[in-house]
Amino acid sequence: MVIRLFFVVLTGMVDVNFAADGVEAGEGVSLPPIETFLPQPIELENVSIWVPAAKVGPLINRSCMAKRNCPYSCRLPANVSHRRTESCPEPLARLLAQYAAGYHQDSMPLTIFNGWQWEYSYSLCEFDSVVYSLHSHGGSWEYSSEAILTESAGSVQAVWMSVGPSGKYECESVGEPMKSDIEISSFSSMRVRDGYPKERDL
Amino acid sequence: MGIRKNEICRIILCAVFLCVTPVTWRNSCSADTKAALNVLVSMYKPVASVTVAQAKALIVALEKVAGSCGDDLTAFRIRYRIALLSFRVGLLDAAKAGFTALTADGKCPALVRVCSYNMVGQISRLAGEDTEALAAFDEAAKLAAEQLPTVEKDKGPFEEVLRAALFARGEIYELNGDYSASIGEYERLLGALSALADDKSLGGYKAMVNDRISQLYLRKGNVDKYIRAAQAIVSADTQYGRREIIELEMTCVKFLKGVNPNTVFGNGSFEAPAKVIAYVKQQEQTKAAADIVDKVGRLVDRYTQGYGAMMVEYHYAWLLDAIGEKDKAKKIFGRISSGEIEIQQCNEAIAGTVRQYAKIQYAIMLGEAGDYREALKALSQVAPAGEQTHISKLTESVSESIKILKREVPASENKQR
Repeated sequence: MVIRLFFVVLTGMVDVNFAADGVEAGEGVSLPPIETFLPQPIELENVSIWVPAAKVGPLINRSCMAKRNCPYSCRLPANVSHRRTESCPEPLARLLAQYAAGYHQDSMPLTIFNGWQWEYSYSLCEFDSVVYSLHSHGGSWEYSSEAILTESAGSVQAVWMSVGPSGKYECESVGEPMKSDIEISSFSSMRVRDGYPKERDL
Repeated sequence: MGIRKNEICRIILCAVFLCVTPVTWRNSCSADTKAALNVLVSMYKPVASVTVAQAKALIVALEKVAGSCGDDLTAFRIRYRIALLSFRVGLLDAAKAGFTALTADGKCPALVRVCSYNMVGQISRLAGEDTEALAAFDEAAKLAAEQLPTVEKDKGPFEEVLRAALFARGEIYELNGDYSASIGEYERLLGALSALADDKSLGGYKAMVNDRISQLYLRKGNVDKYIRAAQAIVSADTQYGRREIIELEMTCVKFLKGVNPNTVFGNGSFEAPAKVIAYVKQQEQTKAAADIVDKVGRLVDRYTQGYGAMMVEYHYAWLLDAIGEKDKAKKIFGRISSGEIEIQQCNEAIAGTVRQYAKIQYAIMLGEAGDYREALKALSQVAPAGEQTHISKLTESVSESIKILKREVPASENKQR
């Protein structure tokens, strides 16, 4: 009985004197929230779609002389557009580029500028060259081609998780989001559309 | 009662002594602790809104009071705050050292340790130190998972760190080409997610994780496991935005493996529909080609609205075009161009690209059918993002071409050809 009474008193004292973990410090004052940096999973979507690649003509020859061995070439650009907000850490933006580059390593090198940015503007990734002839007095030539466009678009965003004294938490960006976006496009498998080239006498 | 008066007096005296002792201790160190606490509390601002200059000043102020603080909890929080502010100002080595010291201290409260492990992992990952990042994220995940059953409510912070740490581990392995290890981490994440009670907020994450697992299996060359994981997403009652696309890709992978067992999918399944269309363009008269067009047609019938449905229809239109069903193909390109298919949750960049190319292809096919006026109208609705893009140049050349056709080639003549 004596021991029991002792422990009842002791338990009460412990409750009075020690604050719960993370709730109050020694002076009974609430501690400020604890914050931690949490990048969200990288979001990247890849598609490969057939698209019209080029279209030209009808090119018409009105002269009385036939035109032979006329060259025509078509170039398709590869492009990378990579941005980040000012608050987004550069290494986080670079991480997005590295992750996305894994899907384009056969067609485009990962060329990093400024420590984070993948820059690859308007370089050629597909080239087609043909030769055509035009009859005199209205010979015409019309051309159309198709190709596979591979496009990747995605982003990475980080938030500050803030855990308040009561254990309540929020994962929200304060002010400008810490975010980086990327869009990559390249072409492959260029081919002449069925039915082309069309040669007519107009 | 059996308790003598002097025993009761002894208990009360003992209790008073025990009560007074901590108060005395508190009073003896309260000046320093109070000063430390004041600095920590009064100068608090969310770290995102602290300027670099403010952060540097705060670090100096906190370092001054950190050593003399007698209260453990306050001291740990001050040390954590110093490390966090160091991270904010870019002193990554100092920040990492501070967080590492906290993780090593067994007296440190669980939440502070979990957050410290997370920070060590994040700093290491951003610095490209993958081995250290993997180890820290592993510890963060283990400690967070250990804490979850012990926390009655407010599990959220531990769940967030657990999820972020395992996603990060999966991504690091994936980036390094270790697909087996990456699958292992994503499966570990799925297991952790399943153990959490609040399933509502996790549905989207589960589909995303299954999607990653299925892609990694395919990149590894394990088609059976790819199909099993992909099927799990398709069968689940979820609003996952890629659901219809996953079903299309799965259908195409099966088809390509059927016609050529040596087909490899080094980038995953997203290239499969385009590869199928390329096959049909070359083999348009075969039974296999007719079969795959039929299968994709059934998907189109099943899914009519949404981003996934639009993507399935776009590929189907190219398949129809490849087998010579020009009118049906043209109709679908027209549907996509007009915005008839409603899309909500989607990757806007990709959805925009698909719509623009659908408009151009629609115009080309209208031109081929001699409907020049409608073709030019469709082209006028193309809104390229910039002057030098492929879409803008193509729109210009197709428009020019159709104007020449309109001027030089009678519609009836073009139709005949």
